[in-house]
Amino acid sequence: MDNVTIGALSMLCGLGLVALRVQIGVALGLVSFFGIAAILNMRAAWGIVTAVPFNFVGDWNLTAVPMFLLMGYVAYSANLTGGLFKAMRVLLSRLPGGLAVASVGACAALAAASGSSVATSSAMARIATPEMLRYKYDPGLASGVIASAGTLGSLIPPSILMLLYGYFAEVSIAKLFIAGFLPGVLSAAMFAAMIIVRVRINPRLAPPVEETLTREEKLEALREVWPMPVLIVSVLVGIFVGVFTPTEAGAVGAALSILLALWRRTMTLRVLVDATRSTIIGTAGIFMVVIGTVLLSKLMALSGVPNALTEWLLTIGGDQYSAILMVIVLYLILGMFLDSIGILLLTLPILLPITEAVGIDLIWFGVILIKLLEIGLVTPPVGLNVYVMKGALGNLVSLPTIFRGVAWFIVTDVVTLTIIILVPSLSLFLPSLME
Amino acid sequence: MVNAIEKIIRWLSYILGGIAAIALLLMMAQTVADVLMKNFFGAPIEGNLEIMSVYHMVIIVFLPLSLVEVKHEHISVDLLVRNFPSWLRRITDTLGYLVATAFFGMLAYQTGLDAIEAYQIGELLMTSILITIWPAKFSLPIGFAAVMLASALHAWRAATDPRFDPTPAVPDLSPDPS
Repeated sequence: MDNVTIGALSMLCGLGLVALRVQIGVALGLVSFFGIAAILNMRAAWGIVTAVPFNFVGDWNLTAVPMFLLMGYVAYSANLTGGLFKAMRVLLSRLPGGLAVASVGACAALAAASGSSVATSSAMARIATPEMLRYKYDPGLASGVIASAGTLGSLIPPSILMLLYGYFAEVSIAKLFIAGFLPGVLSAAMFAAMIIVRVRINPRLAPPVEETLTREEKLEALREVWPMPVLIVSVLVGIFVGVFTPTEAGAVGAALSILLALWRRTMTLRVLVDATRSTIIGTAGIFMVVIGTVLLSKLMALSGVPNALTEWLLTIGGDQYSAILMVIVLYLILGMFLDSIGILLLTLPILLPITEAVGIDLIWFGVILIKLLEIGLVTPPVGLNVYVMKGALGNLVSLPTIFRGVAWFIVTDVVTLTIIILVPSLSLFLPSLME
Repeated sequence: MVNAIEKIIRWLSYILGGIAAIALLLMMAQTVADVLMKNFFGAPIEGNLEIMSVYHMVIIVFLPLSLVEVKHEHISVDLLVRNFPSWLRRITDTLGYLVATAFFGMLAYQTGLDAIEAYQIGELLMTSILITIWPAKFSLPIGFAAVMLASALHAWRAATDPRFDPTPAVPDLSPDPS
């Protein structure tokens, strides 16, 4: 058996184990061990398997992952995020489908702070969807908007997916974060525009909300939410002007969210314990996947599978757009049964040599990949966010209804993705100012 | 008997998780201190980054592994398995946990040997200051051995308890739906 066959077979075995609910890190790590042993020898396999975890994890750049997770969990647990929906509602409820538009805004802000799509959708499902249903909104719209808008945090910085991409692709993480900002805002704006147009055409989807709030009530609602914008803007501006690096920004953000919670008197020992526990569980879980994929990438490099794929791709047409088209197809397929971190890390060892061969800008490519992963979070049959919605809503809305509601948002996202691909400067303009 | 073992594994996981939580908060404090020193005094704290990478980060990633397993929070995909009949799912789950037990056992054994070797030669990291790194290397065998035990326990549970369900709780992070 030649090396390419061993590499390809190992990868297939790994995916098979993943399909049988073996945790991703274990499945990939184990097949990599045997693959490396088959290509080199047992000694080399043992050496690589034990050297990688320590050497890889003990890296200063990766400390940003637990720190950004901590920032998000503190913001949640200390309820800094509580009044977001209320405030957005005050600002936007007079638009057609106002509550749904307000949900998009609140989800975007929440997801940006937390970096977790699942957590955002789960939280907003309990806050916003019942409100919309109370005002007789279409159930598909009321649930689909939260499942879809929850994914916005992967593009809007800071984002764990971007951090990992930047680390593996060896691209400036500061530039990546800033590059994701406009496409992220565009995605949110497209969602809002789609809702408004749909409700204009068919007002029964979202009956107008008759609410008369006094000026004081409105100001009160806005006064409640200032910590979140302060947190997000400080972190982004700090990175943009270079007061701290993106790696340090996580720790600064986490400390800032603790200070804001102390100021608001919502910081308790319980909050600290909950937030740190969620953070370490999240970190260890993510890094097991990371270690498994790093082992796999060692095997891939040894086996020559990426080179073989690159050569094959170059023979069928080696320009940027056919490469991107191939990635889209690949991600659509993988998105059906893997979660976003798994897809990203699994494919990077294969995709990065290809992008190098056809000369794609790695920052722009990162934005495209992350947008694809966002879409993958809501596409059937897996659509992780849809299941999270279902879990959070219980019997309030049925699963097919949520998928039906999400379909409109997927179509909108495809349009947004097309714009991102056709207009690279949308992603690359802001980072170019950072030179 | 199994219940007693489960209790011990749970306690072990919480203790290891607690140590990781302390490392996490220290990491935050030290990074912020570094940023402040750099911006106000023009000089970062010597060796700070290296200590955080070699100690805090390694502790945060490896010690909580068994806690992740106890809480069923390891990242996995249950799309296919969800549609299996329950007898088949019990078989695949048991085998899956045995595979994980074996993998973590391998890692625990080999990283344990590495850690002992690092201790015997008194392994150092050469930076602006010298850092002893062998204690950090013991985080790996400890974390891997603990998650091996937790996986073995779950293999036993999956095989013997028909009600065993390894799906994580839906993340509930909204303390006050206002």
